[in-house]
Order: sequence, then C-alpha cells, then structure tokens
Amino acid sequence: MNCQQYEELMMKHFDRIASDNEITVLKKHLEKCSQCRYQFEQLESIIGSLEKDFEPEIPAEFEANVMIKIDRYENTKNSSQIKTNSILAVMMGLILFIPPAFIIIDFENISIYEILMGFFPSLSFFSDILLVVLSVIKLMGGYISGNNELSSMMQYVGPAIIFITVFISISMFIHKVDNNL
Amino acid sequence: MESTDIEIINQCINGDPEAFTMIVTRYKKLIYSVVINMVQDIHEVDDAAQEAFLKIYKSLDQFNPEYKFSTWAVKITTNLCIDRMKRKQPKFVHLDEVKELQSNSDSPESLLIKKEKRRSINNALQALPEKYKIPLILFHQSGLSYEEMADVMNEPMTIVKNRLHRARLMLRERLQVDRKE
Ligand SMILES: [Zn+2]
Repeated sequence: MNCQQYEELMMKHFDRIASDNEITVLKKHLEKCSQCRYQFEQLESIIGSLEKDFEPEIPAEFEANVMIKIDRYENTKNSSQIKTNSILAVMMGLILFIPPAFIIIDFENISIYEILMGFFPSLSFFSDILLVVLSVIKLMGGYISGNNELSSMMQYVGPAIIFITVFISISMFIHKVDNNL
Repeated sequence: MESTDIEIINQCINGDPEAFTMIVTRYKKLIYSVVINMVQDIHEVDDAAQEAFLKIYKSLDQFNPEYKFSTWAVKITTNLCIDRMKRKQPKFVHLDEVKELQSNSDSPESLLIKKEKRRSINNALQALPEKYKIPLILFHQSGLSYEEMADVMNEPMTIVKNRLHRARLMLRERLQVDRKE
C-alpha cells in the first residue's frame, strides 16, 4: 500500500467507518511514515476541534421568539387572506354577472354566438384582473409568497383562460364571418 | 408519551401553531449548528436561526414524511443561509465573538489557546467554497450521515463523500498556509 492509499484509510477513519483491522494497519504505517503521521495528527486536531468545541449558546428565549414570528405570520396570513378573498368574490360577482344581465334584458334578439362572445371575454377580463391582484400581492411580499400551491396554480390557470378565450373568440368570429358571407 | 414529529406537524397544519414549539425545542441545536457556521456575522446567527424555523413552519405542508424531518429541516436551513450569504459581504469572526463551551476544568490559558485555534479553523472554514464548506459543517458539526447529506445537497452519496474528503485536506492546507504567514 502506498501513502495515497493510507490517506484513504485516514478518511475512512474520520468518516467513522474504518474497521478495527484497518485502524491497526493505518497505525502501523503512521509509526513508520512521518509524512502521513504529520498529516494525520493535523487532521485529527482540526476535526477534533470542529467536533468537540462546538456547543452553541442558544438564548433561553429562543422558542418564544420563534413563536412570536409564527404568530405574526399567522395573523397577517389570516387577515390578508380574508381581505383578498372578499375582494375577489366581489369582483367575480361583478364581472361574471354584469354581462349576463345585459344579455338577459335583450335575450330574444341576441344570437348564441353573441352570448358566448360576451361570456368568454368577461372570463378573460376576470382572469386578467385576478392576475394583476395576485402580482401586486406577490410584489408586496404578501402571504402568497409562502403559499406555493396557489401561486403556481394561478401561473397556469390565468394564461390558460386567456388562451382558451382568445382561441374560442377567434374561431367564433371566423364562423360568424363565414355565415355572413 | 412523546409525540412523533409527524404528529406534531399534523397538529400545526390542522390549526394548532403552538405545537410547533416542540419542534423548535427538538431541533434548535441542530439548526443552530448549521446556522452558526454558515452565517458569518455572529450577531445575525440568532435571527437567521429564527428565520429558518419560520421558513420550516411555512413549508410544513410540503414536508414528505418519507424523509427524515431533521434532514429536510437542515436542507431548508442551508438554502436560507446560502441566500443570506449571497446578500452579504464575507466577514471574519472575531476572537471575542467566538462562542464555545467553557468547561470548568479549562484554565484561562488553555481556553485562550482553544479559542485562538477555533478562530483560525473558523476563518479557514469560511474561506472554503460553499460546496466544500457545507459537507464539513453537516458531517462534523451537525452530525449528519452521508445519506442525509446527499438528501440535503441533492447530490449522489459518492460525490458528497469525495467533497468531504477533499474539504478536510483543503482545510488542513489552508491552516498550514496561515501558520507560515
Ligand atoms: Zn505514508
């Protein structure tokens, strides 16, 4: 075995996985080879100091301080969630139900295409507003930054609604032009 | 009977944040061992450790019970410390700021030598690139196994092992250079 291989044995020793036999073999070499012995002693001293001298002084009020932060987080989470939820509910109501109200008033004279053309853009409008609101909350570092599931879901839902809306609107528009021709 | 980690986590998720105190008590020493070595400014250690627990709390619903809780918590903590370090200029720890266990048997002189040694090791440790520094901290100070380190660092065990071995030699080399200067 050469010194390089003994160095690997040393590492195994510091990994605490060397067998008794391996340790005996290593010690025998260290008696003969001053270079390896020097390295071993240095490593042992450094690692020993890393492992033994470490005993962190943790303040007695540490748990209490963590819990204060958690309480604060829970409070802001709840209040901003309630606020956002009620704003979203009102907006949803306005945006989703105003166009249908107009349609119902003039129901007999409106074609199915016009109804759908009114419905999908309003959905798209709603989703745009939702995205704006969410991005503002995100920029302000609000609760959504910690709520990964919701924010990652909205990343897909918003654009998906816009895409579907644009697609349906265009195909209906083409269909309508075709019918008129 | 003492609750398991999973029982406590479920309690927290189901609306009892106070239960998290038990988690903090159980893991504060581990989290501190990581933070104290990764955050250079000793005055920030307590704050960073609190922040780590807050982040752990916020992510509880993402914890996968197939993993060990301690490993997952260390992973969150190391990522947080890396983020913090990126925002800061490196700064060396001062002699009088190094906290360590002061056992009664130590004479003032031997304590001073110990502190001095510990300080130079700490400086050398801080100067190492992150990928070598982290395994040294996790293995020799936080007491993680190779499997746990591989989970924390998202690297195969063989790579983690090689890096730790390399890191020990690098640390020794740096300390030798320091002595010659
Ligand atoms: Zn040798």
